[in-house]
Amino acid sequence: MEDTGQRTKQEHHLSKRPTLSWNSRRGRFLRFFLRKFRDVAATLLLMSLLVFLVFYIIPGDPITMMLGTDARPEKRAALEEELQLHQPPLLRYWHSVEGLWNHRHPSLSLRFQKPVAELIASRLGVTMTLAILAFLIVLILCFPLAILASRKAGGRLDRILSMGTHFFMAIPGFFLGILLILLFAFLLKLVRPGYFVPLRQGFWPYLGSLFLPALAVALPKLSQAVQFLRSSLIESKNEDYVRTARSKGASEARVLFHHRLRNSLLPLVTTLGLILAELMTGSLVVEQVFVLPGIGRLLFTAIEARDLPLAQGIILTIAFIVVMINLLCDLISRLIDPRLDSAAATGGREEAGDV
Amino acid sequence: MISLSARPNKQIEKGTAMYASTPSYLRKASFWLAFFLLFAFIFTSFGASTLNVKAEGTETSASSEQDSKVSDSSQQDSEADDSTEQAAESSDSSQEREALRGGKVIVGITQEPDFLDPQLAVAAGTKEILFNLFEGLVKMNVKGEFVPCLAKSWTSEKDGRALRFVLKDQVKFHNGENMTADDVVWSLRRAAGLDGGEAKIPQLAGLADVRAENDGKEVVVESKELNPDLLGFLNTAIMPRDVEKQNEHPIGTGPFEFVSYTPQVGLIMKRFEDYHGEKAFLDEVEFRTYGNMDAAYMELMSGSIDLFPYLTEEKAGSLKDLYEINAGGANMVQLMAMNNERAPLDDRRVREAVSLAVDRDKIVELVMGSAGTPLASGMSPEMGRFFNDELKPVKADPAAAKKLLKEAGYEDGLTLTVTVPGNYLIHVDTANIIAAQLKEAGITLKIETVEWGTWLERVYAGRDYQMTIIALTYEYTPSDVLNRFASSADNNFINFKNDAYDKLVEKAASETEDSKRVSFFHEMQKILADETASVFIQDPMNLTAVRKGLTGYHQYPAYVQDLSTVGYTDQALLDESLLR
Repeated sequence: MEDTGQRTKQEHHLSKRPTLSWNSRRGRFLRFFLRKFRDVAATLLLMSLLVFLVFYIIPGDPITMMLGTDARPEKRAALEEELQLHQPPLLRYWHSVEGLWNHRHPSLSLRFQKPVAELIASRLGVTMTLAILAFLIVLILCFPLAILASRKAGGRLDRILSMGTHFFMAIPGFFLGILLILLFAFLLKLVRPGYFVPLRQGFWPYLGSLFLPALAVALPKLSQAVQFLRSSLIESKNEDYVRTARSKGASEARVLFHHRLRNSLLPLVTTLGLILAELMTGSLVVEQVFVLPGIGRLLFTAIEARDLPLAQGIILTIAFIVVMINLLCDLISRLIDPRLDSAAATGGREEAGDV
Repeated sequence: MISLSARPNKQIEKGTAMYASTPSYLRKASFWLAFFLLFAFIFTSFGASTLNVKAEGTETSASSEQDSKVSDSSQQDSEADDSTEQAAESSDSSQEREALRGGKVIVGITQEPDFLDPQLAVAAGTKEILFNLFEGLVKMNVKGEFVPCLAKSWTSEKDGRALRFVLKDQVKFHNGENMTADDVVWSLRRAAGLDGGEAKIPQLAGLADVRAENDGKEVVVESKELNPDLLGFLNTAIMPRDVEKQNEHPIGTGPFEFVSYTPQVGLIMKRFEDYHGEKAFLDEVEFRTYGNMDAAYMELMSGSIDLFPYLTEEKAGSLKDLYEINAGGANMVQLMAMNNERAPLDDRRVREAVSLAVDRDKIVELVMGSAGTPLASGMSPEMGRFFNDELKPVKADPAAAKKLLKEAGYEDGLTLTVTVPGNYLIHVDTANIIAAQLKEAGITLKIETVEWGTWLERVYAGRDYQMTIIALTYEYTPSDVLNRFASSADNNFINFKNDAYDKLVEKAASETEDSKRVSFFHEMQKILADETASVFIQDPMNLTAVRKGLTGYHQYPAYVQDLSTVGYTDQALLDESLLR
């Protein structure tokens, strides 16, 4: 009896000390980061194993794809020697992952015979620009559109907008890309399809050539953001704090921008984070439609050629970026709303809305 | 109570409201109607525009055909006029002297180079680029003959088992060093696997020895067994000895030297000033990679590509304002391969019936816009004297096909499956047309589309299929074309077995007298046709768009894009080309 009592006391003592430091602001962030780091590492490891497994299962190996109907045993042997494919599969898997940051023995693309990191670095810019451009389009357009739609719920403008957003949400990005090419290039003849200006020929022409693809990626996600913001704005219309603000004599504009929009911002950050990650992956597909020299086309080629090192490198890079975006979102929402931060530690102490 | 009674009231109100506001309901409907009309408008107008292109295409295909016929006949004329080769060559070069020195040409390609090391490269699209950078002891000319290049002359020794080459002097590599016999020996030993590695060029794996003789002026190539086709494979690239970075920066002796290569962007080469033969006209050539045919087509429309091989017929039509369309046989054999071991195709009568039901002319017309040659057997007419021109393509005869099927016991009809690689539109189209044609003979054709990797693994290597459609490409040697149908050949994916054929393959391999070899190859083609080893369909033509104002482009009967003879005739165009 006495023994167990002492133990519980000891346990209590032990557990109390760390919780104290964990509960400090710095401690909470540290714990947050450790947990996130563990998640990131597990995600990436799982991802790389999955890629390896898929490449192991799908028919065709790099040499078969390369040789096509010219495959003769002698040539196959020569290429196997050249590409070092006689190594055991697990070793090749390890090298395809480890070689990404190993400078002395870089992971070489089987298809292009160049270091994977170098190939990715030369292509990432286009994809990132595309995703960021699309994100800016979403960011700039979603507020005015959502405010217009929510002004008179069920009104004509709202109905047209909601029909439009439903339409664009239903269309996948790549198909929208094809439609846009059809409209702007073939019917209106405003742009040349398959037209791309590299960055070294000037920043603005470069951005200009990426605008249409960015629009194709952005429109479905923009619709999503608009719908989200619209419904949360409409919901807030009859909230207590809004009525209070109105009764205090605040103008409708002030109520909208200072109270309602601000309150809708927090859930939007999470949604926008998800959207940014989806724009990243959406860009990969749209690149194929617009024939842009980005990372998506490279990935497509890598899969087509069964180039494990290259595909592994690209997929890990994308996974890393997406995970990082999520991490950033978590961080931002914690910074915007301290409740999230303290909620985990204190068990959730509700605060009144912004009045 | 009040609330309970209020609820149904509300519903009724709602219901009446819905019927009362029929105008808004109608308005909604009319909105959707307008919406669909707009969509329909967009689609129909697009459809119309493609139809227009198609109509133009067929019109111009007729004219381009005429053009090609004219150019063909002019070639024949020049051959007839100048009985000796030298005369023909001089007339060629006098024609090219009109070309101006300088300028830049952009060649559009859709296939990414695989290896820049010429002995590792396998893709046809890579070999045809490397033709400009590298040369062998012999080199192919426009007619498909092997002419002296890095070797001045050669003699046959040991009953044709060995060849003695006299090397050309004063040949420089792109790195400025002189080519020596050691370089030649090193390159050939590497290709043949005599240096301890695997044979990089499988056709040279039968070499016994390569050595320098006579103070490094001559090189002797000795083969283990008699190989009449050996000379053709000695066009293998000669590289500077012990240069292991060929894949990053290829160094050869060709008329152009390598500048840079960026994956999925392109490859740039410039004129080699110390070239041992006639120097190229162009300053620079860029092979620009396009993700697909459509993207390249857009650039062609805007005129930013000067040369584009492998155009599709449909697209060629609308380009004739800016480009000359050059047509030539591709030395390919498109066939509907039949697995000769799979029932019911192990029965020759069934194979023949299928073959009789297929209308080759119609396929050539519909798939290629008539830019193709119907085939009778497994060799393209591009192979010159080795091609058996006595065999005529089978004429479609569904009635005869039905009769044969009845004989074979399939009077109630027959169902066959064709497995098609989905990435090749031409084969998918062909399959659809054949399916319609076979229906007339009472055969139901199921089309199974598979991914290229699956096709290679399951159909080509695994031979697990009933029928498939593919185009076979070859090195420019008759044995490479026909040996694959020998029963023991590892690439005999149609499982063809014929003792007489096997004997002919053996005989042809050990025969040195040309006329006899030719007759053996003719006989082999006859057996393939008689036995209906497969349905041989066509040799599709290569259409190449060449910018007007460029001269000297020739179509080879093999995978070659020779840019050393290409040049601008117009100074203004030349100047403009350098600004891009």
